[in-house]
Amino acid sequence: MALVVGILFMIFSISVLIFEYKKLIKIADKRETRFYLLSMVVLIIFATLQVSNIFSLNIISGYSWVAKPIADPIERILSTFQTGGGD
Amino acid sequence: MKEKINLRQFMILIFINLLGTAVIFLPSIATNFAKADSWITMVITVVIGCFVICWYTTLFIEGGKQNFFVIIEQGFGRKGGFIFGFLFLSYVFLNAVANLITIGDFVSVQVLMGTPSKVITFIVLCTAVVGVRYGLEVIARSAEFFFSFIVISIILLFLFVSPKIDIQNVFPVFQMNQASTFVGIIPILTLTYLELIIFLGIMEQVSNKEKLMRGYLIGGIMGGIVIFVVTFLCICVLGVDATIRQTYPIYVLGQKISLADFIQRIEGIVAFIWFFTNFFKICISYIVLAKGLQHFFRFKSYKIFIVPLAFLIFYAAYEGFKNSYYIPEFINSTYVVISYIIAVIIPLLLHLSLIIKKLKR
Amino acid sequence: MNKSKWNEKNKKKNKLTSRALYNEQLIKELLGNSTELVSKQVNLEEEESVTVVFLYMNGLVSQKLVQEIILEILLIDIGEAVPILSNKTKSKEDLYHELSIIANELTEVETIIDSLINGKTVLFIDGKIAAFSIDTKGSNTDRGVEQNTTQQVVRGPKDSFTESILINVALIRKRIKDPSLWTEQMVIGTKTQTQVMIAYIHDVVNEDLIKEVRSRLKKIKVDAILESGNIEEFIQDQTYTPFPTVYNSERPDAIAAGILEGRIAIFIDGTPFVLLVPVLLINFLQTPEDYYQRSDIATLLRCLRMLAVVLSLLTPSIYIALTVFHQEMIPTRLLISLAAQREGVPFPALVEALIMEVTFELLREAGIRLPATVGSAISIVGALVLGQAAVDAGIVSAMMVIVVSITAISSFVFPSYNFAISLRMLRFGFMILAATFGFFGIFTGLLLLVMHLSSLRSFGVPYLSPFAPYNSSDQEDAIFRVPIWLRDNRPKLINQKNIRRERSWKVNHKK
Repeated sequence: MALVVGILFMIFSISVLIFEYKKLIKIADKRETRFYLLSMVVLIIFATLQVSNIFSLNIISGYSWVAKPIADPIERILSTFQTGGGD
Repeated sequence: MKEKINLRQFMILIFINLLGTAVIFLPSIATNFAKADSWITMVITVVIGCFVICWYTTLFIEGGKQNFFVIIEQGFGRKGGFIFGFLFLSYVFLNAVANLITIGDFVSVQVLMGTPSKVITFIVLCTAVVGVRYGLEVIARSAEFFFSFIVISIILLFLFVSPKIDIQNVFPVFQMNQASTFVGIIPILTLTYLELIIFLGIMEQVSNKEKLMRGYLIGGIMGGIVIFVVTFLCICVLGVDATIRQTYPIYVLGQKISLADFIQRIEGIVAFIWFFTNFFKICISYIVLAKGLQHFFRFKSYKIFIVPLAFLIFYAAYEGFKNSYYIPEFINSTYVVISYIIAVIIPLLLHLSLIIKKLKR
Repeated sequence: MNKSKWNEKNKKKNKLTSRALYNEQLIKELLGNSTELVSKQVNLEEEESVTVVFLYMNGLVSQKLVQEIILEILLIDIGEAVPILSNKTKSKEDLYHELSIIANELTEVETIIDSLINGKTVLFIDGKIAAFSIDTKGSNTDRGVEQNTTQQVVRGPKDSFTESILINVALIRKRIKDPSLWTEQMVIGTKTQTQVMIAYIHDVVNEDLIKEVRSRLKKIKVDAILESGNIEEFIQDQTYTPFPTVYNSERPDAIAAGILEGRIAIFIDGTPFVLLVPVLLINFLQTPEDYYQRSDIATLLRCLRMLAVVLSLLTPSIYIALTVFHQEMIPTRLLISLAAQREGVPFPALVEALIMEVTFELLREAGIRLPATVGSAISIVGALVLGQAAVDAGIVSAMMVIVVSITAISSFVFPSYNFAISLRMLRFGFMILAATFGFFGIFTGLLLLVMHLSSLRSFGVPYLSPFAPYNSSDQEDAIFRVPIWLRDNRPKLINQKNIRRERSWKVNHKK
């Protein structure tokens, strides 16, 4: 199932790529279109792998991971002031 | 042709941005800290928020009323500007993704039970792509168009809920949790006024820059008042415990509506307010992101970045969302740290370096 | 074939000569011996007989005028105070003298043919390498000014434009007797040579706007313009949008009011529909009658039309969203009766709604094309298909019939037909969105719709103004229609100069 979604997603994104590229080529210079093509290809591959559950990289967790040394103590301090949910 | 927005539109965008995530999460978070006194926390936040707004505006004026990314490069130099600029952009990116995640979560949990949140995320993102492709002017105009409806919805919500107010719920005033009342400001500020730093990215496009501060402040205060009233109503109507327990207390507030046994449960109003405000919030983050990248890569048009960014945002939102409980946890820890670094420390450094450079000259 | 090529090809052999009969033959050949080309030969009574040839296109000229002119020119006037024509023809010199007063001398074959086609009478005289053209335009085919059929009003002038551009411009001139009402004429269409006129009030209209309209009209390169719709497609700002960005009307008072606000009217020969630019979304929801009724009533009616927009766009989709996704929002008792109605219906709500909406659209199209005598048959059939019979047959629920009826009624409320069509189109999109994502889908659709609308411009004026961008002074004539004596500003975005109308204080009758 996930694979099917992944393939559909791939087809969708490639059609978006082509559609956009046709428009871009009129307004952008060589460097810009090259950047566009490169970034799109990389991102489409990433996103398709992601959607079809083959590969996963959690970007949001990356933020938590980077901020972890400060975030953890802060959360501990904050939670002492929180009165807790429920009752 | 440079796109321009007028002061009124800028003000409305600020108002809408303040309501975005805040109106749905804040009552719960604030009450978690200060219990019945959370409305006091809100009042203090609004006051502090006004100072934050004034500071951001002075920073903008100090930097010569130009593109924020140019200001950053002025302050930190070319290389430093690149690094700090990308730090700022990463924050904007986080904001866009986080708002997208919350929209997906809210709709799939509360409005459309059974639809996977990823589908919702995808649809909203596609709509945002359309909006950003149209440009800031169109986004501002649409926001202006919906503004009156949003205000009417808010007033209707207040009116319909007001018969259920039980003033006993706010008592005792400021007797318990005095320390918590003030500590609560720390995470609440990050969700409201500190997020407005994103607007530095589009401030350059406001046509009437002389009155910028006024528009910024009015928008900020209006938004603050709405958030305050929502929090107050949540405590009064739902009571402290229920407010804390619900992830989306304002939605429950909408469900409480019952007038003449016919107008019942019009939580659709809340969904409307929240969906539209959050959507415009995503659009603004998105457009600032694209403009920042345009500046740092020295491209002619920011439109080249729109679709690749859409993939990146969708990609991040797809995997980034673990479950609904993860969101408040994230807000209380990582988000606080990142917010204060990006929205307080970096602007402070920037301001200092700008002043130093000015004194040297 | 385009005109310049035609010229080149014919230039060499098409030279006028001094022989009138030869010239006549030349013109006849160039027009392919068309039967409407009428020629009359007269010989002047002089020593050497001089032939005079009259040419005109039958149907384009007024017969009476031609006859009068032929007689008046040719025959000697022997009356003293009153002209009485004798039966003798004038001399050649007299004839030249007379013609130099009332006629234009043409030497180019091409211009001669142009003037023939435009309903002029052309004279050839032996011994003159030129032709004389006399304006005898007048048509027996023009219908008179009749009551308009597309935008009916209860109160207000009932006349409407006709197919003749001159009558149409005259109808405006009759209403605006101001020397600063200027018109400019141009000819568009290489084959049809259609006359197009733009009219505006010089000291009110925005200069840039005139330039823009002029340049857009000049850019049109096409062989045929048959209706104002052809022009509209060329000059509109954006092609791929369901919304009209050019206003059209066959009501002279509506066009006159537009011109007075600083807009530009575009008249096209051969159609009673006159274009008006620029136009805002809100103009499609206003009728000229709003200004003839009392202001409070007009405001109320406008609010009603706003409501009709929402209803005609969203009623079916809200019904679908409520019954499929958000049953909890329906009051319990209503929900129970709804469920009971839908019990026997085999289709999901979307299919049910689509069946009914498509049926209704079919009926409506059928009703428009049918002759009036058969029209009543359609309404009977319509009442059956969209009524109790459909419910009894178990195809749709009774509620759905009501929903479709509300949609239908509200889509007839709009004064402007082309705006109603665009809403009809969008309604189906919203139904599909509602069936897949419920209210969330409707919200998304609304967002897309409003973003699209705010990206639209009509000749540079934002389509959604005065709401977005908001303009407080224009609010007096948007949803609200303030009393005429209070409305002292012209729309701000349309004309930047001369914004104030003449301030007219309310006459105080109280003592």
